[in-house]
Amino acid sequence: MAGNFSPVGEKEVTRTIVSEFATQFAEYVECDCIIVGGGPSGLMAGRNIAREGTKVLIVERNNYLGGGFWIGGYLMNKVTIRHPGERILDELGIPYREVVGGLFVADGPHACSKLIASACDNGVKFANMTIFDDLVLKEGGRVAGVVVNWTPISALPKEITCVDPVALEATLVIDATGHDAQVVRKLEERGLTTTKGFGAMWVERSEDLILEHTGEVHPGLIVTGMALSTVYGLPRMGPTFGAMLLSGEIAAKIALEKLHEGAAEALNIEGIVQYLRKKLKQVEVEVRGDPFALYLPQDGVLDCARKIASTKIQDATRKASSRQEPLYGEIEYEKRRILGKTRAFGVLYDGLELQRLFFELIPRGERSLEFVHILFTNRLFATWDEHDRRYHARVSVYGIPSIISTTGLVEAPAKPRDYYLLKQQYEVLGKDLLELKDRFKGAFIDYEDERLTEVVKGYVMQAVFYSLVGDPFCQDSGCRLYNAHWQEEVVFAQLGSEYEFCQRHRKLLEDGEWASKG
Amino acid sequence: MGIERIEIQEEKTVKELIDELNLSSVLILLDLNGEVFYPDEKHNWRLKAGDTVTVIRIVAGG
Repeated sequence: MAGNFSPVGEKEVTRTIVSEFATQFAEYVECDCIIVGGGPSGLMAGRNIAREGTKVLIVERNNYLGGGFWIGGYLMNKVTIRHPGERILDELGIPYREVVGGLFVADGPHACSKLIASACDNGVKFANMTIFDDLVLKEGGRVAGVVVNWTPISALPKEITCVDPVALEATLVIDATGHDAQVVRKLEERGLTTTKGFGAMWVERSEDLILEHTGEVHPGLIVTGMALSTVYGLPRMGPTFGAMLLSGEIAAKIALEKLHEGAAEALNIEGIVQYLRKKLKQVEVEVRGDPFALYLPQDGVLDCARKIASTKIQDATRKASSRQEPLYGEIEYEKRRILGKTRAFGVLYDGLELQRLFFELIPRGERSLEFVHILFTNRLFATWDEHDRRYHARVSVYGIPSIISTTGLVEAPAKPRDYYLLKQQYEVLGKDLLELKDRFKGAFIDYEDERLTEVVKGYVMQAVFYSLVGDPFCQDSGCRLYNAHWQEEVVFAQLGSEYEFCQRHRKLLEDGEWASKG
Repeated sequence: MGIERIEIQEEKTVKELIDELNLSSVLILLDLNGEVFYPDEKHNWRLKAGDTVTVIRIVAGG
């Protein structure tokens, strides 16, 4: 008998569930932001971060989302919001009414479902029934992801389950786990921070304090909502939700600032321009801005994203002779990078292929040695070395255009040998790597290093000399054109040497043979 | 090191020039009469005697 529904059987239904879940999960093993906890602050943060085109995953231990936002308190489903929290209710289209001056009430199911729907509408994805198990910590103790497992696994005795967790990587993690402050507590277990435990209830104070304390507590980890009470010993939260929503909003702002703060943006470009004008008198120096925004047509974004994603190095010990077709998630990630909506962290690209892609962005009339195009990026790239048959991270690739990686400046030149020896000891002993960095303070260029612009000037000059005389480098270790492979050499050549350029290169600059070039 | 100017003595294709200079495994750009291109884009392009080709070798640093 023909029914009203499509003739689809069990196998198609099951296959759809499995493949759709697997595809999405595979895509979200690498995110811009992972939020642990799907209550009001986590949902609010996720909604606002995802709204900017950023890749957000909320990990929720329950099957349902919304935390305590369904119910106001004591199993009664009316939620209260104190002024100025009603602004968020307006934004989400949640009906409410003012009970007394500055105190508002809404139906919990309506409020909560609207918030969840808004998070979904803005692109947040969810891993529900998923329990936070541990953190991924990378260089310097930076939080770089979470370790998770199925919630039911944690509810069963180990002798029955014995299922290993899996890890998800993210540029940022947000702890929105409520009073449990599970993520921060895990850091505390590792001796990387301390928590004070939440104090007694005091509604008049607690909400303001939550907003004041919302922020990053450790590199890569932001805390929002009630977890802040536990971290900072603030009064516990009562059944009012304004601070949860507003704290989520603040956490999102902080997260977006962090996600958008490309290292290249930390450069003082104007300072570099002034430096070039001083060194290369009569040469016209121009700042163009983001090459994707300038030269990539809207309909070329997807193809460019696919090409960039295909330059990603999967294994530093294997030369990629023919590129594999990138995964959908990798292309989407690069698309957001091109559109300036996220930044790459921990992704390694083939520097020569990347350089070729940037070449294609240069207007045809400017693809010549008459122009010196210098492109700053915070993408980390590497080039293949036939001698030891592996990729090596690089600071720069000189060609048309020349590319200088600010991340490469931190990651490519080797740090002092003692640093690596001590780092091994620190890792074995579980000690704080930030303390180790402090011991070597100044010995190498680090992220957000205030010396970055000054150092980059030397690399810019290498690009200039490459274009003008064909060779970017100098053998003199005190010259800014020295091809440093150790951080100590970088610091000396760019900051510590008594002179900027060796005699030969200084003379070339003074003679100004390139006056006719642009 | 990075940029070298070569005068073409006899007619040949871009590919023949690259092979002759043993540059097939090196990433380079070529500048011919002000037009810069990757050799693999124009392998069969015929270079005439008297043409000046600039070989721009991509160099990595750090």
